[in-house]
Amino acid sequence: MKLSIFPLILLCSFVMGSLLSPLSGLGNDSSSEIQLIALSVFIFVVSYDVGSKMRASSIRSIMKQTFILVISCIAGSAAAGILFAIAVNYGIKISLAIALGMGWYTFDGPALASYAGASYGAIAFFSNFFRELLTLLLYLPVSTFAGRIKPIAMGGATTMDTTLTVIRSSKEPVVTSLAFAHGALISFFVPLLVTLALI
Amino acid sequence: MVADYFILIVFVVGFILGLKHGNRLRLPHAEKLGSVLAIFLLFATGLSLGNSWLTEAFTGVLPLSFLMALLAVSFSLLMAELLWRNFS
Repeated sequence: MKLSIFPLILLCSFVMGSLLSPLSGLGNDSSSEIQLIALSVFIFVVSYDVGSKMRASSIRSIMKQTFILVISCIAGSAAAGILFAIAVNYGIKISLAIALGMGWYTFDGPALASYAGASYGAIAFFSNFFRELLTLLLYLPVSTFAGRIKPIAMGGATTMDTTLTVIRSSKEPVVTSLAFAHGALISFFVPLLVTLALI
Repeated sequence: MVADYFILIVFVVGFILGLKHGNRLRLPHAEKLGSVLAIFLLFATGLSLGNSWLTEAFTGVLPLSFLMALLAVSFSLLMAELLWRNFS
């Protein structure tokens, strides 16, 4: 499969899924279960493939890189939240909580909705959803001038699942491992940071 | 939340199995299989999210959300560039 058209195929697949959603007759629970099963099988295949291509020395070498990416993602998201608060005159706590969702829209949307109301919840959901979409669209173009590793920070928590599909297209096991480790650590920190921002 | 921890466990198990047995038991056509699964996964994600994000695309909430997403993506990349240059 050619690298240049693969993200387009992924995007089309996503849009097709969205468009066909009302026709599918599946409830939210059923389609979420299908998504979880598909994600689990995908993650297993990817992780087994990555593990079979990795050596112990290369695992040690990604720890420092993962740490730099995680700090970049958290600091960058916090800076975006502060700038957003100034630009649109929102409360700093709310803006930080939205930004520190770091792509995890299924958590951040409901969290903000229950704390600050439906409109903030909607912004939290869509901004994190757009972050995922932007990463899907921009990872490959950006990686042509910034390298394969640094743009991983754009994806936040999504680099362990949906955007891993695009990042994996670099066909470098180290990049895939870094992306997953980054996404997993960010997913660990998101509930903590969002809760801290809202206190 | 539970799903995230579940896939984290799946990743760790798959990764360890790959490290231990990957040389003997290679997955046939792993890259092609991964690509096909990725396409199906995104289809399932679209199915799960529904089409509300498409139909509500230009209401007041979405421009603000897009601005936040753009800022977050840009600043994360900028911070990665800065930290990478100084600490890697």
